[in-house]
Amino acid sequence: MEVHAGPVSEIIARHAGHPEMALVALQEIQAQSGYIAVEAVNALTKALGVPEGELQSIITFYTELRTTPPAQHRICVCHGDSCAATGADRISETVEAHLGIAPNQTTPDCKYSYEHVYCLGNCALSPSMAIDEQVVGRCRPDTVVQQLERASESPAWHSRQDGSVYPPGDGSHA
Amino acid sequence: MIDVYISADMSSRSIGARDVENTLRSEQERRGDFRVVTTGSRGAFFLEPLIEVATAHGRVGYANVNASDVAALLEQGLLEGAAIAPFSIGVVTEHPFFKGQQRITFQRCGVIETGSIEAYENASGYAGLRRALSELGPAAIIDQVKRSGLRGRGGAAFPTGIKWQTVADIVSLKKYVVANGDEGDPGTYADRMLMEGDPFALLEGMTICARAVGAQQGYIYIRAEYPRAQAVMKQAVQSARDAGYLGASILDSGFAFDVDVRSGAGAYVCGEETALLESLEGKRGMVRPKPPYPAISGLFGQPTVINNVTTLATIPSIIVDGGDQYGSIGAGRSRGTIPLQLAGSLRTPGLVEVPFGVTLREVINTYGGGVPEGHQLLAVQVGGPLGDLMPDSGLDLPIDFDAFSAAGSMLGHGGVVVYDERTNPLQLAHRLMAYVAHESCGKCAPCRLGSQRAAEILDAMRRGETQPDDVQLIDDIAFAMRGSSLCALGMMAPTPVLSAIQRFPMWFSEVNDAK
Repeated sequence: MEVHAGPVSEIIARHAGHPEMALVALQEIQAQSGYIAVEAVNALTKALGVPEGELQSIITFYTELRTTPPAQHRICVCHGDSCAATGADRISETVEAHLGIAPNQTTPDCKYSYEHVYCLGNCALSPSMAIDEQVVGRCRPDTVVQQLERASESPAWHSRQDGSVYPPGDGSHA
Repeated sequence: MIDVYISADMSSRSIGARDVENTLRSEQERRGDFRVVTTGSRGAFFLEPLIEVATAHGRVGYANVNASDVAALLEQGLLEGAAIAPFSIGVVTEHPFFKGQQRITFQRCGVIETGSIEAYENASGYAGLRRALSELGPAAIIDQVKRSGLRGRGGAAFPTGIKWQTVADIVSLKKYVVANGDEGDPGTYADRMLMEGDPFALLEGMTICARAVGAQQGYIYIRAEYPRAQAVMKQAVQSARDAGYLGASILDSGFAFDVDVRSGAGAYVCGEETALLESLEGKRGMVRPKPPYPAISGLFGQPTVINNVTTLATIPSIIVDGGDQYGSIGAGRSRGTIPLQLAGSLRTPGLVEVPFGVTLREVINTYGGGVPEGHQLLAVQVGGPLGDLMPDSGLDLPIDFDAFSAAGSMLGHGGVVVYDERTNPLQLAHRLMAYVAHESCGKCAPCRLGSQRAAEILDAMRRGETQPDDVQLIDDIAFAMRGSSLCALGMMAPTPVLSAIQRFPMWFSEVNDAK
């Protein structure tokens, strides 16, 4: 399959002939589409002159890069040192009970994905979690569910159907 | 027009500063008698959301404000700096949290409008670069940095001036300056605060460095978990270009230097300098064997200065006030000040910039407020997840790179995490090792396999399924990892568990009983 003319093909064309831009190109494609489709990898291989195996090895190395469409909302519970010291376990237990999924899983309706992360840099206000790009400090088990429900009312972090509406984070709402 | 300050720092916003800011802005539109200025945070996060007002006596603060409090505060005389209970904390810099601190690197963070080049210039910003371009040549800049005694704040504590000298001495058509903003150590946030709160200090430091070593291109590598820091830095780069502080002829001096902001993609090991360089080259973040050091053969094989964000952001002050001035502060071979990031089970955690030489206990108790009432200190970990675990009796160590390493500890990037009795010790030991197993880049076997195996053993231990000789086995694995791993991640990974076995034998006593 080909990559259709559009933002992703523009990204690929912009980096053509520059193998050193492989990671940047993959990040830009994901920011554009929400994930890195196999067609994009094929096109990037040709444009950059980087073997497909090497691109795949880059994608699998970096935990932020993904090859499947993400859920509407991404829930990250921090288990960094400070959060672990201040009750991160109780936060994840509450999230898991509410969503009915384990870490690195997505709810069947694709509304939420859930993972553990190791430090959001919010250590003076532990424990922390991130709902999409919004970091929430001083989480408490009794307020976490409310936070999750508030997120479900907000617009999807990016659309699964139409990758083009994914808003690359300007961090302004973080 | 009265200036009202509110932090736009990610942390401040994680507990409602954005709502407070929005309410302030709608009140401003309605009343029109003040101006809302967004800053970084000063680091006293237990006071956030914190509103400050410029008065004749200085900046007066109102702490722990909710958006719903804003209108009433304005009614009750916030703009005049009136004392309003329970929010008033008086003049902010007189607050006990700030009074004993000595702010050099963080002098502007949380104080000036973030992202405003004019506010930066008014706070002595770019005075260092002007001096570096007009008065000092490359050799004199490096001399000032050497005199300051500045050592890398990323963790390795290598003398910055010597690193710069190495790169300056090499003849090469291409050289690079790389700022390491991949602040991955859980429990640390100094670099993030600087990039969000005082981005031009980092750019100025990088530009002075480039001038000193003869580099033309700089990169700032920021971890993916810091989207706001990335956004602020990107905007600051554009503003600096527009104002002539970056580009083909900086301040019409003929000196050319430009900076690109790059994002990490979720790999702790990319905080290791050679892995970071691989990542900047578009590859997997795999560690390179050293030597050659990046100063000789760094980015794209060219001589490269790679410094931590905090290190580079300290450079402008050193050039403005002189290396001797900075070097007159501190203890032993640790000169100047260090931003310590307090976290974990403390009453008032936050960022504290103190001169080297104060004790860890002083920092934890005076600034961190000690562990919350009703709880007891279990252990303190300094220097990130690879740092050793210290008991209460070990806290009288002075904050000093060499005193720490003599005691088998490390200051690292200055993260201080306090654990209380609610933490299960064996679970802690397991979590720290499992972290390394997860983050190991996999290039060398001792780290890749050793961390995995040690984590499995500790996992069994914490579930009470201990086998005889498990402690001995961990010791053997640790020996192999320490001696033969390729980088600091693998070499230092066993430190927490080994220090625990040594200093907290009671944690493992049940384990021993099981034998």
